Amino acid sequence: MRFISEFRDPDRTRVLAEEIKRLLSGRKISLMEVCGTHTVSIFRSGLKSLLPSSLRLISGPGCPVCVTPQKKIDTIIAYARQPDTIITTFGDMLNVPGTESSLREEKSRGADIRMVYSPLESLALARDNPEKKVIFLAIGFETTIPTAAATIIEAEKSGLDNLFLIPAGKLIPPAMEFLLSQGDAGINGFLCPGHVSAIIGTAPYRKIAEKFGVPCVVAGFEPIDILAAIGELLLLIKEGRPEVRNLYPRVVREGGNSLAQKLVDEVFQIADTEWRGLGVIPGSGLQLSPKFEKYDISLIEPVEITPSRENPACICGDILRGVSEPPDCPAFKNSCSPDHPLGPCMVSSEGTCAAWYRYGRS
Amino acid sequence: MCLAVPMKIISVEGDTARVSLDGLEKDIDVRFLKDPGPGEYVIVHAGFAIEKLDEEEARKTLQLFQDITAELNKSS
Repeated sequence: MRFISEFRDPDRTRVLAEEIKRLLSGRKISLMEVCGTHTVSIFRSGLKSLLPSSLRLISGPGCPVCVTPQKKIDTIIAYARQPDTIITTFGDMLNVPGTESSLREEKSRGADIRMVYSPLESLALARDNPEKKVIFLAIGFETTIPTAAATIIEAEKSGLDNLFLIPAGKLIPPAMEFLLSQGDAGINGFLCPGHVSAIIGTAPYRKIAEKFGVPCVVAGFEPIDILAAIGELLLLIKEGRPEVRNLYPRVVREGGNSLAQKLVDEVFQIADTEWRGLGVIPGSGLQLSPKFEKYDISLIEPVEITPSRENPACICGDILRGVSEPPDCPAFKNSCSPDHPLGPCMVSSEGTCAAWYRYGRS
Repeated sequence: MCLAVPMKIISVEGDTARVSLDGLEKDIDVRFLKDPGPGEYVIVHAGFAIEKLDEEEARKTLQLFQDITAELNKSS
């Protein structure tokens, strides 16, 4: 297909990788791939083994399941236990371990939990089950948030009174700023998420690049997209130019998707939000705007949970901050594996630990 | 969560489009697109088209990547 194979061409891939190696010539550079999908692409396409070891590719917190705090997971489980309740969620959330249980465990005990591909599926469920509450777990970054906004708009249009949301959307640029201001990951450049950028455009990265002197390159997900972006970042770093580049113009428009932005601005408002491993990041999350607050189940019918605890053996937080890698974790490939995960980084298809486990060399 | 795939629009009716990829067809929501039409490629995520794939930009990008490769070569 025209839009895929050219960007996977093995010869161009090899040449780019060689040029990158030569330009680096052993210098240590650290680049952060913000997005979990980039982490997986880099592994899966074998780029990790093509690139020199002096180039450190740090996985960032761009896995929405991974950055959901334990308290939020326990809260969802508490709602799942309620009678006459249907929980709808993206698939990855099912296996994430809460303090005592997981959605999958609750499902096996009889809770009505449905995996959805699109949040709109929650609408039909609400219509078909008027005596039940349908609660959609609205996890995701800027790529996914518009789909949750559209679902709320449709619920409003239909006058549905049994559809609810647990708002859990998060914003990428504030997290990038937070990581840079913490300073401990030593980031020289950012590989910016392609599809988040399709929604938000490139302007949000300009502020970050200027304030911290770090170049940002928006990249697609094919091997050549990623290598070209790495190459461009290295050139910008070498020339001391903390600029923003869009290397995914076939999908990303400079201004982003204004229709999606407009809908999100109508349905949601910005809030301070807790990220697993990073703590509360100001202005990094979303809650429903006043007109749509009635859809927030946690406001309408708050639920009590026992104090949340993360598994003490899990270093997911350090991995999300970019200061540790999965092999640094004593539990990695021992007590923690995709079949028996201790934390969300091993569960999610975009989780760093899952990627290392599946694709990394032993 | 950037997981999304390019799919081709077969037909559009209101906010819904029938799209296909490798013989797999499904209906997706296209409310975030301006004037989507049959034959166009779109990026699909969680049941929605989040953007159109611009064929001309794809072509220009491949040339841009060649330029980057040449630039890397010059710089090392």
